[in-house]
Amino acid sequence: MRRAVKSIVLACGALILAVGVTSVSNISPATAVADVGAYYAPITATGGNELLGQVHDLITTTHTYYTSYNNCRDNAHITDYAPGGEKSIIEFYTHETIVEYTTNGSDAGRWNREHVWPKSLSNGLWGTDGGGADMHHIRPTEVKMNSGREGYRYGEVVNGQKIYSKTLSGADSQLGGYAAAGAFEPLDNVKGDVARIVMYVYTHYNTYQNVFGTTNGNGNSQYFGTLKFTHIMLASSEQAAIEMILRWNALDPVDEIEEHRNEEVYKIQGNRNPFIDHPEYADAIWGDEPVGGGQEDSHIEDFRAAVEGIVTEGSLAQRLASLQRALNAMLPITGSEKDLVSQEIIALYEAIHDYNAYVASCNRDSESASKVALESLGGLFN
Amino acid sequence: MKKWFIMLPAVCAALFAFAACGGNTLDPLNAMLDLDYSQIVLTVKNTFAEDLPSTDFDEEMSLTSVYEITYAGDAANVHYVVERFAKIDGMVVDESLAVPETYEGEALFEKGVLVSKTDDGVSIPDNISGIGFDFQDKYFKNVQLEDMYFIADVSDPGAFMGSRINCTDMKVKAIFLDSFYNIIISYTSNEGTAVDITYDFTL
Repeated sequence: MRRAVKSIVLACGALILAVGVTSVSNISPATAVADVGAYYAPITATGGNELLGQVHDLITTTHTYYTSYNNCRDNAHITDYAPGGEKSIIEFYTHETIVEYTTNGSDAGRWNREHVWPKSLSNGLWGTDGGGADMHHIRPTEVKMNSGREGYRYGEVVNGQKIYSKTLSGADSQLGGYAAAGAFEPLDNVKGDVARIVMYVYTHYNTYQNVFGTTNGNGNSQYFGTLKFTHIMLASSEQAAIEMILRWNALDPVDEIEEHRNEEVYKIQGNRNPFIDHPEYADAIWGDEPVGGGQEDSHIEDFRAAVEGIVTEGSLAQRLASLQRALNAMLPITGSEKDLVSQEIIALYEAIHDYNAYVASCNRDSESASKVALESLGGLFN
Repeated sequence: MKKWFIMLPAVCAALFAFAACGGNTLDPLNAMLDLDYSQIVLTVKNTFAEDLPSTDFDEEMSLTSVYEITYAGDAANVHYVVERFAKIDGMVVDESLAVPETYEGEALFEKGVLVSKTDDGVSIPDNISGIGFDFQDKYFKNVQLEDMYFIADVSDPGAFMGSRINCTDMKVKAIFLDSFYNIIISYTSNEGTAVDITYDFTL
């Protein structure tokens, strides 16, 4: 009998243990260390709708495991790791460490799950599955910080009420943002985090036609629909919302917290947040700086340096070599880029004109000296 | 052209004797200009000053023109090889442009007037019948005159060469015996170009 009970207990313990790790055992982890370069190899576009579509296709087709809402809770200590125990996490808005999870909305000083893009603002696309359980999206938040943000859209407020996280005793802990007139403004060091999550969600969960993609991937079309930036950003227009997101993306660069989460979530879900790996995609898609702007910038800088290095004195060989360098450096500059270097182009043309004028004067000098030398023989020609 | 070659030694002696009596001491050189040379090779080299290292001759930038003048009676045939720099055409820059192009042609003069010339754009004077060289004491200073050479600074280049010329520090050196072997002239143009002219005479 004792052996039977012991067996049952052991079996139950194994079952409990199995249940406790079900969220992990059902996961087929991707490669532990991501080859980020290889992941983005399918991206060939440099900007605009073409890039947006390619990014959508990439992050939807590589999203091989759609996590549950409980997965978000159970893996938070990995994705939002903080020292202090299995339930310890880094709080999203304040970056403080919170050690206990709770499902009780009145438990100050503990954390729960925050929809960065609230369910109420998702145009009906998610509750606690699909986009509403995407680990790139859901972040742990102190209970009172979460409720203080309410379901407000993000925005830039004036004279907003300060929103604090709370300690276990209910006292103010850390400032996490400001709220006013239906908007919540996070701190500057979190604005970029918010922007990159918003862009991920927008790019991923819009139906592929909306974002110029070709597929929603993996047959999970029920998770996709229409999203607008004005659903989540308090702005006068979609363009104004985009400009705010781009501004926040630039203001607050990618940090180690985001990089760590991106890697850990990738291991679980199979996809990455492209705006953490490539924050420049934001301006490339919605701004006016195509990807590879660094290369184009270097073309412009190379040309400017070559024009500045044009030799106007010394041997003809040196002058010609410097002009040749400048002309070669001008070749990669095309289209609207030439407007950026119009002064340098004019300077190059003037340098070529000056060179021609110089050699013409040399030829004239030689001709003049020869004329005098020949005419000095006048007495011998008669 | 008058032919003095038979009487030359006596004439030169007489002229130097005359000069010793207070006349133009350089008249013997003028007399040598009247000799009947069969050929004169004129070389004109222009070196352009652009802060070039004085010891780096590879960097020297110059144009050289050579004129071979062959006399036959009243006619003079000028065979020339002249150098000119090419301009950049359009936006094509080639470092070979630093090497001068050469133009070779012929010009025929009769009694000092150009009657025909190769159509190559090279400029040749239409008329070479002026006085030309004139060796007068008053045109020179720092003169060294010996039996076989004449060296001097030219104080009046235009009068000496018979052509208006803007230059500074002209110097002349002539080597002769009974006739000129060569005359070498150097000066700096007002544009800063160093000019070296050599006349090689053949009787």
